[in-house]
Amino acid sequence: MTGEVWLRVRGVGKSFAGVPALDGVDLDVRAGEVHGLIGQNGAGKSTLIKILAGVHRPGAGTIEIEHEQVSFPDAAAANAAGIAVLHQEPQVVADLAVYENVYLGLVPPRVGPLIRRNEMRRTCREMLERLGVTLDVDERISALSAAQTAMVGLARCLLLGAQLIIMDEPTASLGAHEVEQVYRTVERLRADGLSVIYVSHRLDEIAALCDRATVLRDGRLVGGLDHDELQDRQNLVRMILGVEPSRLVRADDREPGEVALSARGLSWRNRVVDVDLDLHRGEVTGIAGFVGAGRSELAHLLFGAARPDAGRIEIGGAPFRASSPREGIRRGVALLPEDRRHQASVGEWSVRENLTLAALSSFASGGFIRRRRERERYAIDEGRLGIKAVGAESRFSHLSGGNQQKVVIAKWLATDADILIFDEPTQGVDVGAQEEIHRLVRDIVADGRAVLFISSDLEETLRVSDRLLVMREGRIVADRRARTTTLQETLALCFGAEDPLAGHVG
Amino acid sequence: MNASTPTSTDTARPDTASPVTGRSGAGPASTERGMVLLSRYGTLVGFVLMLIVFGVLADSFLTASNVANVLKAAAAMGVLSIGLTVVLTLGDFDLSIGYTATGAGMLAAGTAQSFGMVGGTAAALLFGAGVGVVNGLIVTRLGVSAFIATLGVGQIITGWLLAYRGGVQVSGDLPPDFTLLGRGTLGPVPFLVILWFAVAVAAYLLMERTVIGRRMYAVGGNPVAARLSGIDGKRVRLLAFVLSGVLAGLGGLMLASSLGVGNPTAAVSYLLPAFAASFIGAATLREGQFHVGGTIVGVLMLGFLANGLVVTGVERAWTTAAQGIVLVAAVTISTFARKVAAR
Repeated sequence: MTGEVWLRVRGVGKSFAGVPALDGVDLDVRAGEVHGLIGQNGAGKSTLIKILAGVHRPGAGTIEIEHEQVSFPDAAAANAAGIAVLHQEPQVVADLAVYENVYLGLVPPRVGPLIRRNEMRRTCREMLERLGVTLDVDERISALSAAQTAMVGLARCLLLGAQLIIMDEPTASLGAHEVEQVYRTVERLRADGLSVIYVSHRLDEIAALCDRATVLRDGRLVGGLDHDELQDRQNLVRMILGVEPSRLVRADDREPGEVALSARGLSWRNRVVDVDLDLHRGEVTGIAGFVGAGRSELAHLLFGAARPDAGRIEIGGAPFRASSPREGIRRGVALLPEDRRHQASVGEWSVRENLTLAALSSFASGGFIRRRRERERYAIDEGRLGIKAVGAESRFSHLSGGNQQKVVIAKWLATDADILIFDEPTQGVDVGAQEEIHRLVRDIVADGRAVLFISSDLEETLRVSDRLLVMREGRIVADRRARTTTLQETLALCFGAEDPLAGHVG
Repeated sequence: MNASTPTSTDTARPDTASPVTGRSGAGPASTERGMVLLSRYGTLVGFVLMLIVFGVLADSFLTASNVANVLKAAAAMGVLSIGLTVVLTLGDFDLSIGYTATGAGMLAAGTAQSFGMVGGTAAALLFGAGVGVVNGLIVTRLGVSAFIATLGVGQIITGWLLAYRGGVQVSGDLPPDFTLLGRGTLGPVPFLVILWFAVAVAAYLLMERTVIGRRMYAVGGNPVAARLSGIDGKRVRLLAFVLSGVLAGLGGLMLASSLGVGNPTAAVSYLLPAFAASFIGAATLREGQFHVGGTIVGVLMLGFLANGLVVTGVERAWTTAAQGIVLVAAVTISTFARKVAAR
C-alpha cells in the first residue's frame, strides 16, 4: 500500500553539552506508511522527533523531503514543509470550543477585522470528516474524552497541511476502548496517503499498527523491521534492550503456598459481580481484561478503598471488613494504583518523602519523623530496585516514569505488606524498566508473598503470572494456569468470544 | 584557577562550562539558577534591604525598643497567621479567624471578671477550639467548602459579639493579672513576643518534623494519594481547623490582655494581613508552598514596613497600601522567577 519514500533522514546527530543524544541515525518514511519509532527512555526518540519538528537543529546529517534537502530553523518551518506533531500532552485550551482549538495560534479566516467563525467551523468539520470522527465543533474541549481531544489535535495537524504526522505516545493516557478510536484514525490517515511516525512503549500496539518500525538504543540506530518482523515480540524486546530474550523474566511455575486472601461473592455497583477469588502466597495471580471490565474496582475492594455491596473478604483466615485503605494497610494489603501521578504520589515532594508516606509511623519515634531512617531506607531501595535518581532529595515529578513507579513500589514494600496488588504497573514505563518491574514482582512472590497483577498488556500478564484470571463485565470468566494459556485464547476470553482454540492448544 | 598548568589547558574543552573553576558561562543554566534563587530568597533579600533603608533613614528604627514594639504589636496577628498557614497547607481556608480571636478576647475578659485569669484563658482557648471543631465538622462531614463554612461561622460569631454584653467592650472588675501576658516582659523581651515565637517553633516542629505534619502536607499535596496511602484526610483536616481555632483564640487572648479590655471589634481586621503574611511566606524559601517559617517572615515584613513608614514620617494611612504593594510584589516576583526557571 505504501508509496515512495517521502522523508529521508541520513546520519542525523545531536549533542547536548557535549553528550551525544543522537548519533548517525537514518530513517525513511514512505508516503502512506505508519512507521513505528521504538526505544527506551533516553534512546533518542524525543530528540529525533524534536529535530523533525524544528525544535532542535541537528548537529550533523541531512533531512530530505521528496528528495529535496530541507532544514527547519523553527517549528513553523517544519509545519510548512508538511510535518506536524501530535504531542502526548494535548496542546489545547479546555474552555474553548473544538473549532477554536483547531485554529489555535493560526490566522483565522477573516473579512477585514472580523473573524469568519462559520468558515472556521466548516473547515474544522472537513478536517474531522477526513479523520472519520463525528464531533460537535462547538463543543468545549473540557467536555471531551481524552481520545476525542487527541482527535482535535489531529484535525489541527491536517489544517496545517501535514503530509507526515508524528504521534508521540498517543495512547499513553487512554483506556482500551479509546485506543480503538486512535487505531481507526491512524488507519484512515494511512488510507488517505498520509505518513505517520508512531511512538509508543506498547509493543502490541506497534505490532498491530505499524507497516515498519525503527528501533533506537542509546541514541543509535539498532535497525529497521517490517510488519511481519514486528510480530516477533521477543526479537523486538531484544533489539530495544540489547538483551537476549531468554533472559526475560517469566513465571517459574512453583507450587503455590497457602491462601493469603480470599473473597467470596464480592459485588459492587454492577462493576464487580459475584467475584470469588483466592490469592496464594508465592504466586502471581494475573488479571487480564479490558479497561472497564472491573479490574481496578476489584483491586480497590480488596484493598479496602471501597466497601463491597455484597460478599466477604478474608485475610489470613480472619474476616476483613473493608472500611478504608488504612484498614487494608493494617492487614498487610498494598495497592499500587493505576494512575501514578494522581493516585500514588505527591509530585512536588522529594523521593524520600514519597517513599515513606504509607508507612510513616515506622520511620518515626514519639511522633517525630527520623529523616536519617528515611534516607537509610532510600539508600537500600535505590540499590535493590535500581532507582535512578539524583538522590533521596530529588523531586519526584522530575523522575522518569519507570523510576517513579519504582519509588511507588518501594513505598509499598516499606509497609511490609504481604499481599500486593499491582494495577497497570508498567503503564507509561519504558521497556527496560518494565523488565525490572517484572523481576521485582517475581522476587516478591519468591519471598512467600502474594501478588495480584493487573495489566492491559496481555503478553506481559501471561509471562509474569502463575495463574491467570480473565475479567469481563465485572465477572471472572476464566481461571487457568498462565503457562498453558496462549495470547489468542486470552484475547478471545477478554472479548467474550467463544474460545475457538481451546481444544487445540496444549 | 590553574590556567598556567599546561595539563589543564590540554584537557579542557573550550565549549564546556567548567564547574571546577566555578565560573560557568553565562548560559541559560546560570539564568535558571539565578531565577530559582530569586524565587526562593527574593523576599528575604527584600526584607533585609527594607530594614537597611529604614535604618538609614530613621535613627530610631533599629533601636531595641522600637524592634521590641514592632514585634509586640505583631505578636497576636503572628499567632493567628500560624494557624491560618496550617489550614492553607491543606488547601482549605479559614475566614473566621479574625472573628474567633475577637470573640475569644471578649469571652476572656467576661470570664475573667468572675473566674480570674485562669478561667479567662481557658474560656478563650476553648472557644477557639470549639469554633475550629464546628468549622472542621461542617467542612469534612457536610462537605461544604471551607470558604463558605468559615465565612458563615465568622458571621455567626459577629452576631453573637453584638449580642454579648450589648456589643460594648468588657472592662472594669478585671483581675490585675489580666494584663500580665500582654504587658509583662522578661528582661527587655515582651511576654507576647516570647509566646509568639514559642508557638512558631512548636508549629514548625509539628509541620516539618512530625508524622502529623507530614500527613497534613500529603493531604494538601494530593488528597487522593494520601487516602490511598492510608491517611484519614477528614481527621487531618478537622485537626487543622481546630489548630487554627485554638491559635485564633490564643491570639485574641493576647490582644485583649495587651489592650486591657475585651473589645468587640479588636481582631476583626487581622484576617487580611494574616492572609497576606501567609502568601508572602509561600513565596519565601519554598516554591509556592505555605510554611510556618515563611509566614513568620511575612508577618515581620508587614510589621516592620508599617512601622518603618511611620517612623520615617509617612502618613499612617499609606502603610496599609504599602503592605498591599509588598504582598503583590513578593508573590509576583516569586511566581515570575519560578516560571522563568521552569522554562
